[in-house]
Amino acid sequence: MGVSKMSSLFFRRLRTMNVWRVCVLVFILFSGSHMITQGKSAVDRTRSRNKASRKRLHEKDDPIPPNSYLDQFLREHSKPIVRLKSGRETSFELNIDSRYNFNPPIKTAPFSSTGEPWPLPKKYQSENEKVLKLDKEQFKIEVLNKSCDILMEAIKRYTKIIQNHIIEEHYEFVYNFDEKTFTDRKRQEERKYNEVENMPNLEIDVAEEDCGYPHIDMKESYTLVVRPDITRLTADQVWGAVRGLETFSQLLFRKWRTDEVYAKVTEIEDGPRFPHRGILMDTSRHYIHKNTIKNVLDGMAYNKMNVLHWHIVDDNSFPYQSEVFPKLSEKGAFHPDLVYTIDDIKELVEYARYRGIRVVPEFDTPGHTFSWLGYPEIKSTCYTGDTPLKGPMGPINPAQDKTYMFMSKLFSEIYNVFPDSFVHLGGDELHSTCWATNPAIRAYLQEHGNIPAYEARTNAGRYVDKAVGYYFKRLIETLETAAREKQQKKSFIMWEDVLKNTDKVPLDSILQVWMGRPSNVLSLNERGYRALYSSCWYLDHYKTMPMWPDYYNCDPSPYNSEAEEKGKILGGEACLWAEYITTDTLMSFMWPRASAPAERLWSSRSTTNIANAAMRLQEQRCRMIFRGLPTGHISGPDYCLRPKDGSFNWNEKDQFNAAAEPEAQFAVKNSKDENNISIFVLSQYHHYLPVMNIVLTLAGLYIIICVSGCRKRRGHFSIFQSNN
Amino acid sequence: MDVSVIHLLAIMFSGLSVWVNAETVLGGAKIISLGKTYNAKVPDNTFQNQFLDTHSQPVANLKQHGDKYTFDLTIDRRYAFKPPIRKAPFSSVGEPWPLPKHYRSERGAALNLKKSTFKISVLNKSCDILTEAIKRYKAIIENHIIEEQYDFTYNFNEKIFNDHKKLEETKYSHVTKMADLEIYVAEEDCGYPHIDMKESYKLIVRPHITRLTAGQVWGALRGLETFSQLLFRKRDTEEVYSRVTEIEDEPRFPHRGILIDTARHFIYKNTIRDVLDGMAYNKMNVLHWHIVDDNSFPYKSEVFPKLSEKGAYHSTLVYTINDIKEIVEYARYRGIRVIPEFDTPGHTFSWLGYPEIKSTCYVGNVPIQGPMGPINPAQNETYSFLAKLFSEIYNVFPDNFVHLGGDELHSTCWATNPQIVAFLQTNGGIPAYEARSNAANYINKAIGYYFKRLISTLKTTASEKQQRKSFIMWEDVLKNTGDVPADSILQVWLGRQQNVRALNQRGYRALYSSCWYLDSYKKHVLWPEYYKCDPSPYITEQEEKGKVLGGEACVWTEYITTDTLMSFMWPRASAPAERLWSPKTTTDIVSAQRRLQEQRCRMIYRGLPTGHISGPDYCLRPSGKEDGPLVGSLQETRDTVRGAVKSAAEPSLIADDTLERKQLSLVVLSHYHNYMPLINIMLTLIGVYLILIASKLWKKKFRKNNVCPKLVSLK
Repeated sequence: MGVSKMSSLFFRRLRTMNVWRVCVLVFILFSGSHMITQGKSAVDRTRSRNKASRKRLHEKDDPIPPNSYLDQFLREHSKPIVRLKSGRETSFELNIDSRYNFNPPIKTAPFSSTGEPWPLPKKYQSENEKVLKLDKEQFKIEVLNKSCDILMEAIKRYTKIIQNHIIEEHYEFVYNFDEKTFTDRKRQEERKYNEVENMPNLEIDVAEEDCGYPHIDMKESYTLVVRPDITRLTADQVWGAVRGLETFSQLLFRKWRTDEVYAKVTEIEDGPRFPHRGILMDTSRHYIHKNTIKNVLDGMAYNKMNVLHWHIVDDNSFPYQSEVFPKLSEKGAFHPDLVYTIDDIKELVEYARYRGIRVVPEFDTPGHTFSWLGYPEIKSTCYTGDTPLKGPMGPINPAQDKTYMFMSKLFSEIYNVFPDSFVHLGGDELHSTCWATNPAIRAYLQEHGNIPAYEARTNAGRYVDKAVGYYFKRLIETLETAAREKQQKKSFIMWEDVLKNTDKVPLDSILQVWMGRPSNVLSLNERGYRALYSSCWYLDHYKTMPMWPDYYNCDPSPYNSEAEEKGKILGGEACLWAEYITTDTLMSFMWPRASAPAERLWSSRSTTNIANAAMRLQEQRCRMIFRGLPTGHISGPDYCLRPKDGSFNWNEKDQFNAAAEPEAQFAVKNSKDENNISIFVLSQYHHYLPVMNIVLTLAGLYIIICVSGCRKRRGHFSIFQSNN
Repeated sequence: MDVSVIHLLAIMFSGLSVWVNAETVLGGAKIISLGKTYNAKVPDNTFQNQFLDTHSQPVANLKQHGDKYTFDLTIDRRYAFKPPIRKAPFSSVGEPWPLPKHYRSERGAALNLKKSTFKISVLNKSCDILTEAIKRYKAIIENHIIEEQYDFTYNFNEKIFNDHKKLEETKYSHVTKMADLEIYVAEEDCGYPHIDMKESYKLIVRPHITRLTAGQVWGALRGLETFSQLLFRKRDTEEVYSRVTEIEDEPRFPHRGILIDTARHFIYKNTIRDVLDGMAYNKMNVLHWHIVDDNSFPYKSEVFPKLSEKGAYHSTLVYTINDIKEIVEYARYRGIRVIPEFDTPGHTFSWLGYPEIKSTCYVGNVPIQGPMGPINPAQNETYSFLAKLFSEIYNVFPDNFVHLGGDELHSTCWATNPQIVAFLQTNGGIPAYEARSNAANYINKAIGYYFKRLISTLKTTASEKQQRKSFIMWEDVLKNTGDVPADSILQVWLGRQQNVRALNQRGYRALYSSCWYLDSYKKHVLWPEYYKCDPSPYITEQEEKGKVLGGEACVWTEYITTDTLMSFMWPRASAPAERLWSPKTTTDIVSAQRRLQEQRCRMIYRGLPTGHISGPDYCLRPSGKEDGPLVGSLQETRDTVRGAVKSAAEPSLIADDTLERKQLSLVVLSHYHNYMPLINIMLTLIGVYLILIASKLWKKKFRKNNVCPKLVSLK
């Protein structure tokens, strides 16, 4: 009863959200005054207070802030705005002048915000009229308290970003529509630069030391103050500092057509809504190159996501190069070159660690294992009637000890490679009834699992579901033992369909909902499982129109308050299956569309203003491009600039990524004692190369001339001869 | 489907020589084409039949679910065991795309191309286009020949794997050395490519002769592309092979185009070069450049600078005249024409710089502020403005086709404006009352007036320059008017093939695009639909000649950016490319799916960021496992034709403007940069030598005073 009540409640909520979305105008364009955008105040309030505060905040979300200057402006000028149109196909369209209701069907992306963060912080207050200038020559980032390599590397990265990758404030030619709109708007925009103070150095204050691998309980909250008197980032742990640095870098923007960097006066108090904010990446349907994975991790860091769910193997290929079972990739990889060695993976895990991102591997069994061709002995033989089919066609065989020993050995290796305490065991889509056709399996399961053999004939689908229960119960026991032997503790994630007709899956497991609506989350919680939500974020289901409003409107939680969902819903994941996506297209399919779930999972529950999101998302797209990520479109026709010198090419990126290389780590450790890092020196080294060349050449010449000058009597050719 | 599967397997496993012919229809029927008879029967092959009896036969098949296509793996047809595993078809090895008109190759014997000694020589006429092309293809042969496909699915059982390997290697049992490629071009025609250029060629790759013969240099370009596609590398080696092959080829249509839209999103120059490379690899020959539209005006005019000043997204996101000339030149070297489209009278919101040529719209009797309406057809000023603008455009785009747009004028603005209505009644004879009684109809008639007058203006402009221009328009300009001149070309984008026939009957020539809107991405596997779509409503190729000029694949960029354009376009545009080049009877999807798979990998291996085509698969890249810069040594061949002036436009992300470009010699080609240090040292030594001479003179001068060791004395 409770379930149906909750679900109907949810659907009612969904419906109202849709209506609201249709009604919403996409602007907040000319706000000239102090504007406050605020998410939900605090997570741990009581439910009733929470409701009240949400109501209040909803009023605040009104897209047009009361503003006499703005009203006057709107009366005198044409008002180009972009609206979200929902119909058969969603699109953003330009409305040039709402006074005349003149709507040529021109698709246009919403106008971009300037220096606004994505995802929206929990508490965020900024002054549009007051900006601070960041003087690149003098600005420093200082670490006041605890530090470690993660923080030092992060400072290097953001130093580089501040140096070369701050986006320009958005210019919109549409305002050229009439002279008055253009000049008045320009004048108004430039008012903020009239009396500008310099920004003080950024001080970072981290209270606790926690510098190993990121984990489910890491503290990512931080406070950030950017004021004329102080620029300070405070965090409990280094993970919060990494998130805060990202926010800080997002507040910065360049004045139009200059190199001057500014930020609005801002105060932020921030922390994530969910601890598990993930991206699923599938490297089996198409091989994804390491550099692309690094790009994915960068994108995640820019959107404050913290879990890379690596669906590493599947039917289509087995690119994981195991050392204990080398034949897996030998016989199951697309090509001998297209594999991930253990070193490759360690490098990526390290790269992720520096960005506060956990890497959770998925080795999907018992289905989705066609590519495990190297070891046919652990696969089931299927039967047609009484005839066994040749070849390892079936899923993993649940009815022999050999299988579990194999898995124990394989996962023992996997535990070493992937340090995270979460492991994904898959378990989805076992449509094959192969197990039910095999008499040996039937007999074994009756004996060891008490699954009546006759059910295999009467209801094969159900029989297989029960067998899945047996398989996972035993697999998890085996893998827990394997972990214990290594003094580790592992939590196991599975896809929700493993529970279909069984209750044998251990209760401390985490189930990932990919088929059902959030009501499935509720019923899983009621059975005692924790849940992750993915159903509405299958990013590979692609249509040309903007799809992010749907992702954005989707809330993973069936509960009414953030307090209730705590500990029950760990978070969610955006999934990008790669049947029709390759290493060349992955990034542009993923970003900035995955930014929508990123904000949903980070920001407060009440952050639902599409109009505000559309503008910030536009800026986020350009920001990612300006930082060198091949990012796709988001809302329609628009432009984004890229760094002038074009320096953000692959080679540059390799240097940039050098943090993950051992040598670089060494260098960082050395610099640990000196806490002040000056921005200026870091990225400039290569600029001196030509100079050094010239100096060296001149020095050489000088020596040569000296030598030849002394030998007055010898001819000059003799120099070459004497070299022989 | 069963038959085609067997056919596929026949090709895969046959150790005999198989004739694949463009006029082949499956099923073993004898067919007659162009007076020649080919036996298209699936070869009777006992080895193969035996193989099928004793092995499981993994194949990837096209399946249709409603209107959706997928390619699924079937591991063993004997047991009808089909796990739902999506999988792209197995790739062909060394087969060309698009399929030549007459194509014959032997599967049992291969020729080995020795990279160290292989030469390309020109026997007769040559010109810069040909020598540049030879450089490009040399670089490709050097570093960008794909490896034959390996498919791990055969690991499914040991016996299949071994037997399949044995079969594959039969082709290496008779290997001879490939002779140097000789190119023979009969006529000299080395200016800009044009609608009447001859693209036919003959290519022979036999043990003692490798020869490419063409009427004009354009045919030689196409033939070189085909030649490079016949080559493949033996697995895990650097050895390049080709099958013994004979080809006689020519295009079905003279106009095989791609539309790119640089107004909705700015497309960087390097991406446009990528597009042109992709077109060359697919033998397409027209870049239809939809350069401006409502959303922005990136064309930087010199006669009307305010157009881009007020209408470009950003002052750096423009194409200067030099940029365009560079691109046109780049296209010329690949035998590709560049046709600009300046779309009027609608789609002109971004022409904000000159409000005086825009119409004022009215609500009732009140004029609406600002240049909201389309181009104003009812004032002489408009036409003199356009004459001046196009006069510049004629200089920038040398092709004698110009696209005038004319699509989607949904606005009834003109009908609301009393001046326009009055003018059109006086000068165009369009009754004013219709503006009230049937505004849409009125607008269509006004469009007729507009285009009639525009075209006569632009023809005058052209004849002043001693040029002759043909004008293309979108089909909707003809809706309610007969005023458009009959020598115009109409592009069909709304209707089906019968629209082509209807246009032909009214005397117009037509281009077809309706089924090739590549930007509408609704399903994952779309190319079979593109491939099946034939632009011609006629039964024979004879009938369509001169009436259907060809077709264009359109990539509108509302939801596509410079970073995603290439992967949306390729290899999906390869499907229309083969439809427009190969004979009408080339309709075998099974052959196409395998060759298309190879074409995808080939384009990736040549450095183009190409998308997926049929589902899960792999393609290698020259950088191996490392995902380095896509464009390897080919990069160097891209820029021999660059103009002197670089635009302010920035390079695309993955690309490469930062690299130093240089003139290439045929020999060093891809190795130039290897010599950089050497050259540096040499230059330094020369410098040292010069300085020594100078110092000698200097010493002579001061010898008397014995101040020579002055420098040393500094120490």
